[in-house]
Amino acid sequence: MPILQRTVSETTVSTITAPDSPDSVILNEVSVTASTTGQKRRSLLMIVVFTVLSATAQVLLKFGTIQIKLHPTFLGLLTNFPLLGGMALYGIGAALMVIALRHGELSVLYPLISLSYVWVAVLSVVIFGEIMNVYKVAGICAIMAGVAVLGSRAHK
Amino acid sequence: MTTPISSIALVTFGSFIGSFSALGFKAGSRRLEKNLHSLLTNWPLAAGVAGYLLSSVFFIIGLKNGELSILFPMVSTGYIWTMLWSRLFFKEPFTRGKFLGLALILAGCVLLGLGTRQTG
Repeated sequence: MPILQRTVSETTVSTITAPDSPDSVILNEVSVTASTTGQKRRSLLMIVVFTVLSATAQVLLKFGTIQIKLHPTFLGLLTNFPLLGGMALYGIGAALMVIALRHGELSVLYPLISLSYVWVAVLSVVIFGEIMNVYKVAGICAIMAGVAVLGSRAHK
Repeated sequence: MTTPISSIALVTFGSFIGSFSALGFKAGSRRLEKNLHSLLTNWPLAAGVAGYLLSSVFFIIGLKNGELSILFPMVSTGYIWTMLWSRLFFKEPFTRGKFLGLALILAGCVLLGLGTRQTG
């Protein structure tokens, strides 16, 4: 069966960006759209790093809450290094995320955060001995595929 | 364990607020400059942080009761809102790639949720 597939070029769009290095054109730095491919790629990478940090933070927080149950005192809270470390990592990650969002489209970059669910699912199995099952594997694959589809559009 | 409607509502509302905080982050990141004054007067960024914290409160309360397999996919509905706001406020076009990518991610979240039910 012949499938008619007309690829309407999705990216014929919008404001033409300055061809190269808007970095040197400082006069209107704040006024959007002029993000180079390199900048967008860096944004993409920063979001991925953010998801790793946030997943690590979640694991630390989990360790932290376990420790709270063992030492439920105020002093115990202050010396709860997994908890404090997890919070700090969250903060650093959030700052990185904000910087990353500067270049590229929000509608492309924001859903990439779902990659952190993948890391959490994997880390839960490796560290906390949770059981991996078919649903989880399928979910991980679907999210990674979705991230790949979005990511491949990000430079355009 | 059944999932109370209130939990579903809380988590869904939390992700709705969270989608606005994404807007604040994006608008705020455009205004970023390397000095303290501009950072402190960056009101979209401040609104984004406030929205983010507020949405976390809703998540924490909502996730206390109910099954993660139901509630977890609700968290990811925030991405749909974000895509909508991006078009409305930042004129980012809808594309087939974005729809496909988002659909895969949402499906993945549903599956991960089901996976947590399996292991109990």
